[in-house]
Amino acid sequence: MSTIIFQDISQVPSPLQINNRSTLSSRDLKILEAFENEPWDLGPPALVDQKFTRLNRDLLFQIVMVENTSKSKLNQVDDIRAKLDPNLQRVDRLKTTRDRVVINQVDIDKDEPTSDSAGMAAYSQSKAVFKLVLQDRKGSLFYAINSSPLPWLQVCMLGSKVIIKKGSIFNRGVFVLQEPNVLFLGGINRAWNENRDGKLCEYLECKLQRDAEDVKLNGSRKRKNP
Amino acid sequence: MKVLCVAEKNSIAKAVSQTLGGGSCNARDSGYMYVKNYDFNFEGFPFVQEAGSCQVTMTSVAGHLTGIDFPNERYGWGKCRIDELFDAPLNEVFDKNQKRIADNIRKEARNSNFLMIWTDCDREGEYIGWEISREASRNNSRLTSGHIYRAVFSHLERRHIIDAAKRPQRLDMGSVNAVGTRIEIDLRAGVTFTRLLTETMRNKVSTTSVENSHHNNSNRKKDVSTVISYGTCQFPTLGFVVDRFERIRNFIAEEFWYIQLELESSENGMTAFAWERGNLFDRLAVFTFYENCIELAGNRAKVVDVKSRPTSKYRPLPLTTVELQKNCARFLKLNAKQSLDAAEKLYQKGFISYPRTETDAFPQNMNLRSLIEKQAQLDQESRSSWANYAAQLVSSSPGSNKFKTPRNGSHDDKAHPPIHPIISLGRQANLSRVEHQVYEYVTRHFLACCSEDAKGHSTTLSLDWGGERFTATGLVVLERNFLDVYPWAKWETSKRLPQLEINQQCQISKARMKSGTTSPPKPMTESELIMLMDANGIGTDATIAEHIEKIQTRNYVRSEKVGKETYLQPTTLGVALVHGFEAIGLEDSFAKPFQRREMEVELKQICDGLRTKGQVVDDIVNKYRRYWAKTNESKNTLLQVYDRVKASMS
Repeated sequence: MSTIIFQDISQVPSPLQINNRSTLSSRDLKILEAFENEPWDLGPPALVDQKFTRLNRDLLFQIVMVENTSKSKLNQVDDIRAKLDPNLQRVDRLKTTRDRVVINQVDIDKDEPTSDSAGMAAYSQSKAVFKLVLQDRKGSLFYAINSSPLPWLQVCMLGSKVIIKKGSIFNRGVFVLQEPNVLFLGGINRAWNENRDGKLCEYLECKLQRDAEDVKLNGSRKRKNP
Repeated sequence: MKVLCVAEKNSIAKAVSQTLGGGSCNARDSGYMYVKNYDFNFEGFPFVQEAGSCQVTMTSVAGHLTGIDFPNERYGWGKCRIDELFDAPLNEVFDKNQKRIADNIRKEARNSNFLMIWTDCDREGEYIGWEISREASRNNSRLTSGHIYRAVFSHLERRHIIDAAKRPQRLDMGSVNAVGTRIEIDLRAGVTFTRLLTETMRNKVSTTSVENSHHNNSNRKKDVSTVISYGTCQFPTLGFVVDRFERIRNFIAEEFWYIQLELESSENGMTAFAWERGNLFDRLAVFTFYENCIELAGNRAKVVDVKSRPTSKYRPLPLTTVELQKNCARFLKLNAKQSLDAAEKLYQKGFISYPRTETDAFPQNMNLRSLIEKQAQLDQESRSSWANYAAQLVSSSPGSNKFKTPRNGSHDDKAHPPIHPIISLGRQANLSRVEHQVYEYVTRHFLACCSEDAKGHSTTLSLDWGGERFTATGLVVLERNFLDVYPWAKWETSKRLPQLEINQQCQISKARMKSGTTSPPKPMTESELIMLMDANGIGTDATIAEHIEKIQTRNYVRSEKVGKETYLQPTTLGVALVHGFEAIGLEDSFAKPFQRREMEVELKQICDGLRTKGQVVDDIVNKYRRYWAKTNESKNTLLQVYDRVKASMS
């Protein structure tokens, strides 16, 4: 199954030419099935109108992008910059980095002695919601968010594969990932992961620039509530 | 038998003399106006073998007895290449007053058999004690180290002082060497870089100040003696302020979204429940959760957790110097220097204990009750506003808030206890307004330490709506306890929560998706800066205030009052210096605290006898030598960055 897991699945023909399927393990069979299953229909109706449905089959995707929606882009950019050059990190706040420990902008309204802030940061990040961009073997792109904590989201490589199982929720272009309805398979696309930090930093900075320009043009970015 | 005692300040000498002299001592002039020599008899020094009392003279210095500097003839400003100063010899120097004080020490030491040091018990005090012993033995070779003792004390209470006299120790040479190391490094690094920066940037800066004075029509004299200084603690202090400034300057607001649930009940009105996921920075994600919840659960939510438990708000920990400065800045709007100066005066006048301490745990056997009894002022007519509280705390009358042993923090500098009041305020108390404020703070804080925690009851309700969790918390304050004497902590009963039970189904009145925007942090305040410096090891409890003042004197930072709050903002020069050095790119960043922290670690190693002064001085001075060379080659960078920063800040 390394054919599937370590390759760009949009370039792999389906169905796969395999000599003797009965010799495959049950796990490999599952992967094969998810890969060869009919990909998700782009419409009609258009994705944005496909309200609350549940999958009736397993589907295999590759992860093209992972974004942390629980942390502001500015915070993430600061973190990446500090990682790339600890000497340039801003010291007016506390973050624990590997060798250069700087102290927290402690919330001075709490009288309690400071608790383990690194531990707390880790805890709150484990509840983080990530927004993924997934791609199926036809090349179509979808969004996904996790509703339960999925620890592999913090460390997975771009290009890794994931199976969304039957019964999962799909709403207006977004798959909802939830244990135990999702199976992470690993894998990697080397080119996509080169200088990932740098690329992510640039991407977030562009988005921030766009935010800033929006404010200049329109006064604020507030849109009307749905 | 004659013993010479030397304290760090005249007020201490006077107080100790009166105590040891049993109330009678004879004062005479010393040759320096602010120092007197006190003569008395004392029986109790263990090193005096003969029975009976011996003659004691107690005098003092006024801070450091000597300074060190480069010989001015050869190494004064403009007389040598700046980088020669890394290896240049150092001279002991006395200013006019120090000379008089040193003369007095020598004179009184001439006929003494023993010398006892009574300087403050911290590292600097140890070093000053060594300066004193050096001066004394210059005029009396019998005063060898075997004849030199050191008193260990942290306040001026009578029994404590007598005890200190009876249990002398020796000077701690580890501390002396650590301070000597720091002094030498600060001198060499400070002078070399100050001269370099001043020469390089002086013209740029004077032009600016001339322009400014024309614009402002001010009568400012053209400052020909502009100095652009560098200090190993100064720069990191400036760095904190500049980093906050840049964080605000580069801030970009981001929109975030969240879901809010509201439940209406007849008794409690509307209660809002907060989403467990907090705020998400992606609208589609929140929208997806929202729509799914509606699809899965409509307007019904289930109660999944009801936590009802007693809760308390901790009384404060015993008071350290940094806490004192921080809280006086926050609550009383006093800056670090003002509060420390006032605390020093209060200590010298006997009102509070030694104000420079890192210890936040009271010693086991300390009699705190008697201190509280003093504050109750039961035998006095005009009592402080907290006297009743203190009386209640130690009385046997009914009540829930009675004396409780204070909490223990985890810090112990092994020299002094936490700051606490000694005597109460009589009517004749001759205190300035600021001293009064600080005394009140110290006392209320102390009484709060010795009181019960505030007690209350908190309820947390958790709802499950379509798989998403929402919570609301309510608090009922049952006993205010320490809050009654410490008005600066806030803890109030909140609105009542609806009475719900686990697994109960309820109807949601409103489920909304809402948005907000992030906002930039506030500019740096004095109390925040104190906290950052302390946490990063920049400056000691004594010098933090000095550094904060210095960066303002040097015009790197100015204070700006906005409404009730005072903020610290960097000036063009301050920002330019920090970015200038960033552009030069030295291995160690001058404006970040890491380098100074590493130096403190090495100083501690000297204290502990793990490294020698020579090793550490060599190490660090060599680094500065390299950095100086690189900076000297990059003078243009500093000038270009200054121009760039000036343009961006106008």
